[in-house]
Amino acid sequence: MAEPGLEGSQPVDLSKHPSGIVPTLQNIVSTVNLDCKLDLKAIALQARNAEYNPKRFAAVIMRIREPKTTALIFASGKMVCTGAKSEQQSKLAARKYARIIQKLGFPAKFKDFKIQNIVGSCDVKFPIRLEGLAYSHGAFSSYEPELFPGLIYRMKQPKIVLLIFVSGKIVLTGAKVREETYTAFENIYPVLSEFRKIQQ
Amino acid sequence: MSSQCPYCRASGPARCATTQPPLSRAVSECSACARIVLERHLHTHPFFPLLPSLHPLPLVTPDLATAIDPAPSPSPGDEDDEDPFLPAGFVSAFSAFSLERHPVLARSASTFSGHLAELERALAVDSATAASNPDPAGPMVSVDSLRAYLQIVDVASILRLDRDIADHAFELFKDCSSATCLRNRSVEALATAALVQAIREAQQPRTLQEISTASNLPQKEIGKYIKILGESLKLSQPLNSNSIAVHMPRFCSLLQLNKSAQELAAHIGEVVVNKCFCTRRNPISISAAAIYLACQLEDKRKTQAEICKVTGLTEVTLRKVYKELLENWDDLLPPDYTPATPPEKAFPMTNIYSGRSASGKDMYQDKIFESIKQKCPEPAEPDHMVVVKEEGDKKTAALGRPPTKLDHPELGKVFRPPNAPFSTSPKSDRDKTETSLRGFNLNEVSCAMDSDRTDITVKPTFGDRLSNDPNANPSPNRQPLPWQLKQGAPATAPSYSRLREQQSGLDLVAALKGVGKRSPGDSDVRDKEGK
Repeated sequence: MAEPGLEGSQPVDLSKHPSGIVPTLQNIVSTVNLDCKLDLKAIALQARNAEYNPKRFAAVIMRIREPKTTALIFASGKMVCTGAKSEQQSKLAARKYARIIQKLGFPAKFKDFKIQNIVGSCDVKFPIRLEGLAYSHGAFSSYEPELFPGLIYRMKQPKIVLLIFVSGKIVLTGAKVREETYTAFENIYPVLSEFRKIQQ
Repeated sequence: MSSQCPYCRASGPARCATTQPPLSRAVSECSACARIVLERHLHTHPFFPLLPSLHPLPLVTPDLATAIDPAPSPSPGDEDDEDPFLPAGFVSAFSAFSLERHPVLARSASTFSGHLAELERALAVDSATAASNPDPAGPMVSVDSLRAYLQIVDVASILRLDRDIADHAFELFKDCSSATCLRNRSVEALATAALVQAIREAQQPRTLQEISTASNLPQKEIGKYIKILGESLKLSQPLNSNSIAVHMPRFCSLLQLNKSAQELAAHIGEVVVNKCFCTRRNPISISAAAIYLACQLEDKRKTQAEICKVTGLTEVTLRKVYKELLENWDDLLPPDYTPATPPEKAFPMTNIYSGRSASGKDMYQDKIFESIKQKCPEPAEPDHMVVVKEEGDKKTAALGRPPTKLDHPELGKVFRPPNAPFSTSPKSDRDKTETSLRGFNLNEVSCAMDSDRTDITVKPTFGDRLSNDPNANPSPNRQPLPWQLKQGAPATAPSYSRLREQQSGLDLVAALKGVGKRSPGDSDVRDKEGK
């Protein structure tokens, strides 16, 4: 919670963010390889905040409070960590989970940590004409108001999927590094300004 | 030959034509839409009549029995019986027929409906294309085209669409199938998506729910294939193909509204779009709510069930949406509109925040009300913004799931119980406290993990403990005694913090066990546990 406040209070670097808006990171998915076979039943019995339903899902679902994240721990030793708000928090959380596995008696390592997905969101503070945007950017846009109220914009470079809503809220997903999210938003901002809906 | 055309319903004269040379059949086409109405199959039957001859031809063959008799028996009686002047043998007479040199031709014709010929015409173009370009998947293209054609014609007939739309949809399907590979894709879904695109281009609106019901496919799948179709053919969405203005006239005509109600509903729809009210609702819902408001205000009294039947909504959704619209009552209606029914009477279950219902005659009162009207939208806007922000937050939270779902499809289940860890932790604590000695050991291990979790840097503290443990062994042995004794005295209601302290003490004991350097220390610990 502190980081968005700090970002809000600090002046925006206009050379890096010409639009003056910095997307806020909402979720980070990372993977790590513990490099040892795990007994999921033993983990579920010994560890706290651990769920294991083999019939529903073949991994132990474990949670920690700080950073508030959820981990999927598989028998092969692979782990998925979701819910962090920054790259450092995601790595810290993954290390904590690995430490818990070590404490349970497994020779867990910490190999191949990688950020798989970054979800960001921001608000441009003005309404957008989604139909005009979908018409003129038809190659990248998919807008089906009967199915989903937002416009799905598949940007090619960088390869980011944006969800654009009439209210001006933007969701950016699919990034592997933070700069991709920022670059995608700077690319889409002139287009959104072009299709700004004038209030009557 | 004047018959009604089944395609365009025009009772016009049909002209005769011939299909392409490979098939070359005589057909009747509608002069209006140039589609095959009738198909005639001509059959030619040659007949060769037979003429009998006038003079029969006698033929005598020797009798085999008579020839055999004289040899075995040469008696004189036999010789007397024979008559030398009569011919002996079997006499046959034949009447011969001869064929005429030239046959007489007879012709018959049978007539079929033109639908099959139309299908053959549509597929013949495709087969000709396939024949010109030798494809290994030639016959498969034909089979897929046939299935797509039948799907499009079927759905179009259910929805009572024009034949032009169906033909255009089939053209789109053929273009898409030639542009991309149809492997692992549903031909019926792609055909339905092509039909949706043709419907939108023709500006004859049908809701996705209607099309989904008619084609027996889920809406999401149709949406997915609409995207595939758009990508392969590089189609741009027709402008305003999904807007309220497109759907509104059809709903009004189906409900048989009068002109004033239609105009009022259309105006409400325009205002909703321009003012960005209810942005998260889809245009079908807003159209239905606008129609309902217009009917109530014009005192036409269409029931919610009727409107929901036409628009495909549920009544609960209709009530929610029109109440959302009523929150912006002041902006909905035209400036000079006077409702036939007072708003309080038209919508008895809803509180309407409006300054219009009061009618002031004095100039001073008019000025006061004008100022009130000017002030009224201002408080409404922050409410709307708050709602928008809340909705944005919810959507952001909800949308955070799809990318992770792509990696792990059941991550949604992980996020579904966000409050579960808080609720499960006391249960797990109770379970752990209730377990036996082994349970205590497990609890100690988990307590150790908790202490490790609290520390940010794990390794230095562990090193510190390792370095300090051999030196500080006697002091923790002495300290737990008075601590436990102190806790033992007021043990009537142990609190959570006391449980934590006990756990930390057990952690120390576990650490000692983990070290395992002195056997008398272990015996002391066992004695204490016994106590």
